[in-house]
Amino acid sequence: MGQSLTARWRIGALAAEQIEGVEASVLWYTEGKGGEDLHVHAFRRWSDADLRQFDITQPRRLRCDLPLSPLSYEGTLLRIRWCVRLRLFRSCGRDTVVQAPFQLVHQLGHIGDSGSRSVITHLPQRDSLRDDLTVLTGRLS
Amino acid sequence: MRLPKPWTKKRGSRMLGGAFVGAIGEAMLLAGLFLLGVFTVALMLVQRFAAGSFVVRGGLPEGIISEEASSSTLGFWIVVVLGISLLALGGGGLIYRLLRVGASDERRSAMASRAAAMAPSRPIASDLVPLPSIPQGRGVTDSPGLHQAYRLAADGSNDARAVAAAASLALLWNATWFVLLAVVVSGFLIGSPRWVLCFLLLPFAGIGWWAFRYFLDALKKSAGVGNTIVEISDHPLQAGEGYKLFIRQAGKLKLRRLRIELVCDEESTYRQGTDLRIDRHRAYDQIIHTERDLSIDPHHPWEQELTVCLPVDVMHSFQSAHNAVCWKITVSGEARPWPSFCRSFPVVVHPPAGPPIRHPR
Repeated sequence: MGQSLTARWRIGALAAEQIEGVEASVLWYTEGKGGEDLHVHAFRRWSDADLRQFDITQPRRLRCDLPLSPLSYEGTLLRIRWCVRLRLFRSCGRDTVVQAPFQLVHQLGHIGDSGSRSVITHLPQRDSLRDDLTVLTGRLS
Repeated sequence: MRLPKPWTKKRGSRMLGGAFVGAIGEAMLLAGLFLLGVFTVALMLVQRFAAGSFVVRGGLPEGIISEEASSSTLGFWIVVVLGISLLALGGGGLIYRLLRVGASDERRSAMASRAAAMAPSRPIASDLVPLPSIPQGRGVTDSPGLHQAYRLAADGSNDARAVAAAASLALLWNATWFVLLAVVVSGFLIGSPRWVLCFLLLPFAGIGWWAFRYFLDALKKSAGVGNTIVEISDHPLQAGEGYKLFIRQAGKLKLRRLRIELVCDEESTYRQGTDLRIDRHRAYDQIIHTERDLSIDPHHPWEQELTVCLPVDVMHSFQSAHNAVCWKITVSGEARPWPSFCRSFPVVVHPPAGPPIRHPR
């Protein structure tokens, strides 16, 4: 496996009673001319009962070991995007999706070293706000 | 110029003519047998089942088709079985002959071995390479090479498909023509000629002749270009590494240009209405070797040892349900008198310094 990714999330404007569940996933998907492909690498779900166990306004951590492939790719017909995606299921039946993209690239400077098998990830420092859901920053561990 | 003799002294393993001429002659003989079978069966069926309508129309002249011939006699069935035998012999032999065009003995042997090894078995844990969405390319390393470690398998041969399509067109059209000919001949035999159909046979024969010539041209193209062999020193490839190649092009060719390239194509599959379409874009192209104005003799194929180096920043191979990044080595030639050809040999490229590669050999 490659390096570890740690992302943190919190929900700012909603009470836990208004939320039925939260799903967090680390995934890649394709964009471009062809049909969209999607593969979830890491996935975790919190039910409403789980959400009442902790304070959702405080950052929660999501951690996973990234794979060595597929690397992020910016082609003409095809683009491969990696992201951390958070899906919030609300009591009213709506669901809200927020995602924080990052790039999975190879660490060129480490070729030949013992660390050459790892994959460096770069998660831009980013705050995404949509509706009342906030995905906080992710970072490399 | 020495004319070929239809029979001559046996010469052991030596061949009187070229293998190419032999393949053409064999294909023509088998096609002729197939068409003769169609004609025979059609003639007998028309005489047996359409005789009643002829009797109603104009009456059967006495002695042309006897009562015994129009009933289920032993002779009728013997001729029908003979015609079906010709059909099976000609059609089956032609398909077998076409399947052998463009495939070397080694390749056919490797395909047979692979088919035998397709028995369900659990993969060994050490065989699993932790590189998701990258094709493992097990089929690429099935065949050992003579000069380098692996002989690469060619991508699905377009030549074979073209020959099969041309053969199907020619056989179906000419078989139909012979059926119509049988109907016309039967009409003349019973004294009720079908003039319209008779005159239509002429343009139909022209189309049939064109289809047959097209089939022969496709067969000549496929058989004349000869086999292409590509061997590589290691596989899968890794970005930033160098590899040795061995290329061998057989056939009887005069080439304006022969070019060996390492290419990377993006492939996207999408639906447009009810159609499934594939779009390709060449994302990377590296000319490994190019040579102009060369002649290739059947006894002296063109051989070359080359070196290819992958840049470190290229995208690795990728395969998903609708998208792919495909790497391959292509051998393309502008030939005369044959049309130009291009043969692809897929390879798998891993990210730079990925996981340790398991070497089967």
